[in-house]
Amino acid sequence: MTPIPMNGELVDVVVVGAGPAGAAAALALARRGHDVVIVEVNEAPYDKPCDDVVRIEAANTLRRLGLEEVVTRAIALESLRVDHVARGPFIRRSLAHCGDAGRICIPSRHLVEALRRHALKCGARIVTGRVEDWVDLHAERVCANVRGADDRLVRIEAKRLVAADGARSSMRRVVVPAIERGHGGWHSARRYLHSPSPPARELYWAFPLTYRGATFAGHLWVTPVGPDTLNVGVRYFQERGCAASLAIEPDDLLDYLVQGQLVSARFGELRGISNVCAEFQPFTSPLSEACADSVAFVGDAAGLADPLLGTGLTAALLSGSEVAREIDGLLRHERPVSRIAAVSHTLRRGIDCSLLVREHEQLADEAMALEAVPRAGVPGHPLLRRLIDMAIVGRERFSIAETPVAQELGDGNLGIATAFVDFDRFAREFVWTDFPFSFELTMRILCAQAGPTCAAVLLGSNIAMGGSGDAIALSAALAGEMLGVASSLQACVSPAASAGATSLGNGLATLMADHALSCHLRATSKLKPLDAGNFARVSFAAQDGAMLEIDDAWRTARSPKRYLAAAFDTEGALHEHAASLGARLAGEESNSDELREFGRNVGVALRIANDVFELLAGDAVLGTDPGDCLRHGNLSLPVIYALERDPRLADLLAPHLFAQSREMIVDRIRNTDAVSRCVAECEHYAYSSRAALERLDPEAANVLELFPRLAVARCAEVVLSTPPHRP
Amino acid sequence: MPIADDSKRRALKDLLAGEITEFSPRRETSLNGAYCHLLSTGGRQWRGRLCFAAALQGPHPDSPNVLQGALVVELLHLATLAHDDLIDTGTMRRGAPSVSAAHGPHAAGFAGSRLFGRAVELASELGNDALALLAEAATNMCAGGMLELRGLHDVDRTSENYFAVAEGKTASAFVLAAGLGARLAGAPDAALAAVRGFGRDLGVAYQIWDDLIDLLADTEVSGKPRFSDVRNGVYTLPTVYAIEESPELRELLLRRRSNIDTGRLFEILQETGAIERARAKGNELCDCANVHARSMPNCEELTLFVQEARQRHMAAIA
Repeated sequence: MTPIPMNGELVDVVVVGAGPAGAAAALALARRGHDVVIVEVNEAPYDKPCDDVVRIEAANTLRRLGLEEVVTRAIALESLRVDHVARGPFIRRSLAHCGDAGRICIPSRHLVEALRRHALKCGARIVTGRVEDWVDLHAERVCANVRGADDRLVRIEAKRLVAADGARSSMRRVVVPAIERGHGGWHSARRYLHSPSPPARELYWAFPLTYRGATFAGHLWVTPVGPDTLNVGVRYFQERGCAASLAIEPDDLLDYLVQGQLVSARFGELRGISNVCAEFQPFTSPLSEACADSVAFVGDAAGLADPLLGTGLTAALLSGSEVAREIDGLLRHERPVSRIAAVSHTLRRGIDCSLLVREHEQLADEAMALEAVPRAGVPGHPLLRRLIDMAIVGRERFSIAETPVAQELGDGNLGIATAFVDFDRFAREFVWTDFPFSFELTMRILCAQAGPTCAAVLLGSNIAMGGSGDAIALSAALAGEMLGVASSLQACVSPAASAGATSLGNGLATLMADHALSCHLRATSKLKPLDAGNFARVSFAAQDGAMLEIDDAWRTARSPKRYLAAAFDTEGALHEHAASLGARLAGEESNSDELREFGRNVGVALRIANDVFELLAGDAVLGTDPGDCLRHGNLSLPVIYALERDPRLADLLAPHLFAQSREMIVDRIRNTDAVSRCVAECEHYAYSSRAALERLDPEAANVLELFPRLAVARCAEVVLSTPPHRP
Repeated sequence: MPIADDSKRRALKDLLAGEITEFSPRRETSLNGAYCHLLSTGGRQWRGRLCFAAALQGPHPDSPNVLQGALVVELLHLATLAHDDLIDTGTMRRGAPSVSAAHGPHAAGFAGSRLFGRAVELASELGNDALALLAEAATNMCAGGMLELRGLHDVDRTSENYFAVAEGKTASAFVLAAGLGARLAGAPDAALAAVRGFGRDLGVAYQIWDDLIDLLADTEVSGKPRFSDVRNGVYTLPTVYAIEESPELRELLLRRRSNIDTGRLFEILQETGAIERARAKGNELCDCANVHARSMPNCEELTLFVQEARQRHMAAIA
């Protein structure tokens, strides 16, 4: 039993929460001789529902904290990530290939106990109780009122406070928004759990959990802890103010998984999967970087939980020990206050970045493996092929410099490698790097979304016409994309602009849009003035189209004609311009009418394919679910067609109904012939664009023909991955 | 004495009016109303006139290109007005509802972008130099705006930060106006650099006056609610100076972010002499601008320009 702090006592550091992050921070500080008090709600020992996986960096931290023996006893894991990528085939893969070999399993309960024990041994004190309120006295002192287990109120003053009170941190000013993700891997869990001898593999995925009539966003894991033991866990995030987590007994969970009707309703029968599969859910929710002058947030409380790769425990340990190190320096007057905030921020970034890079590398591999788009033996330039891959994967640009693309291409064509670097530099310049991270992320995603096909079309026509796809063509391509990005951003501006809460978001969106336009202009000013004038006119069309779309929001009477008008103005105009610009940059003026016609039709075909995709399959890049694209009332072609067959659907299409009725809307659309009509429409425009190519030189036509094929293949993918329509 | 001759100012006004009458929308959307609203905003056209004054440094000050350059500058300025109101949720502009208040944020955003596109279109007719100047100004404006957004409600905002924002957000347009005027009139590179320096200093001074108006002038004079900067968390130069002197103000702002006791704020601004200090800074910048001007031959118009701008603003806050 440790001496309880006296009322009004001044200590060095108060740590709120004795989970992995808090205990690690407390231990690290106590080892350095600071007077530490831990405040923990639960009586020890308690079992935290979390996963048991620690990455190698964190294992090293544990060693440094003197927990060598815990690490030695741990089990090394072969990780299996269950992915469903690009809405196509299910693929299972080991994480080992993307540098994730160093994961070990330490039962979190043992880990936390060991951390606490060591902390106490080093002189830290622990109080069972709850922090009722706290006052940050601006970089000087924090005062916390602690309600003890005996209901006595103790006031503790500390030089610093470490908040480690979990994902639902009451200490944090900005609460992590509820994470809402698509379907989970019920089926795979069932198979996994039923398989006779689970290998040393872990499963991890995010899902919405329907439990006792309410839906929660959460994640689920299955980790083999020992020969006969599995860690099966569920965790969910719900609205603020509710219980932090829900532990379901493995038996109950199994039962639930087996009986859960979601399995068959969502997936039907799984196709051609041998052992394990589930759906991959990218994690793109904006998380806060929470910190104040005297208070540092660590672990889940700092938003460092990562339900995708299971780095929550790792992040908890790392942030706990890092922040402890900073506080140590601070208390010894070696470091300025702001460093703590910086560390929090860096950790957050680091985790997000590693996530993105890994995700995208994997996806690039997946794209190559995807059979839905027959690319083997596709004629044309390697760069063009790469860009088409980007168009499919839509995220290559996240870390193009880190990927071997530049070198790979460099062997064959130095000029193009340079161009790629230029492309990347430009893209980086476009995205301000010291930005609130979540916004930067959104920007990058938007950028990756809006652009690659347009760039590919430009480059395609450039190459087809005998150009080399050089730097200037790439800048031009990017410039074209920026227009698209600018329009998308302005469309993001919330209609409730006058409400103060959203004004900063709107301001950022507007500024980013302006910045996108300026970048576009800067690129075009290197071209012939004529081209800048053309860009201006394309931007007029793009703005008109985007405005038309917003004017038509929630208008169930929207006609296919108005939809197509907007599509021609936005994607149509951008691609038309891209195609003709590519040719002109290659010195080819004579075929410009054909190319314009080609680009216009290809743009519309791609647009239809994308709209069908977003509606029925969600968007892996943006992390949206099926139907999410309806959130702001964008009634795209499949919805319009579905309304023609099922007019009562209009009753569900209203902003206030959207949250409950999203899934039902998607189902009802699926049950009409809307999808097949959209596919036909997409094919029509793809066909029209091909017709324009017939008048071109066959070799050039061959390269450009990839684009209509891409559009149709995308549509075909949706048809493959959605259940057939029930007449 | 009027700056540049009246015929040029009238020609610029006519061109702006022509933008409305000759605007033929591609299709009927809510963008069009917002676009015309924006074009009819009016104003004193300081930037366009600066373009004319700077053109006197070249051999062809009366070239039609200069006029078109002035139009480009004014269009860019109008575009930024629309987006500014979106960013700081301004509901009033020059005494009337702002475009975003009247037409909604999407229409205001797209209309602003459309104006920007129109400026690009016109600039592209003037050659790559003009385009590059426009691109530079637009990028700097965004960077300034971003810097400001990031420093909202920051009681520790420094005057350096303020000047960096003003240089990007406001002075860029003046730099562009001066640069375009000189370049399109065929001025040599040395003159171009000098007028751009002139534009920068005057632009920052202009921003200081604008900020003083927000603190000192009534709504009837400024056309927007008084103290709206502080309410929005934008701590402008006088406020920054006052915080330096008054820990009380710092506490006041820290404690109440949106609901600030403006009466007390005003008292502190006066007690600390912050307003006088900001005013003096504005004058100092005018002197700097004049130094730039006097390094050139036909500097009279430019110095008169400074004088008029200062007098007009001083009258508003007298």
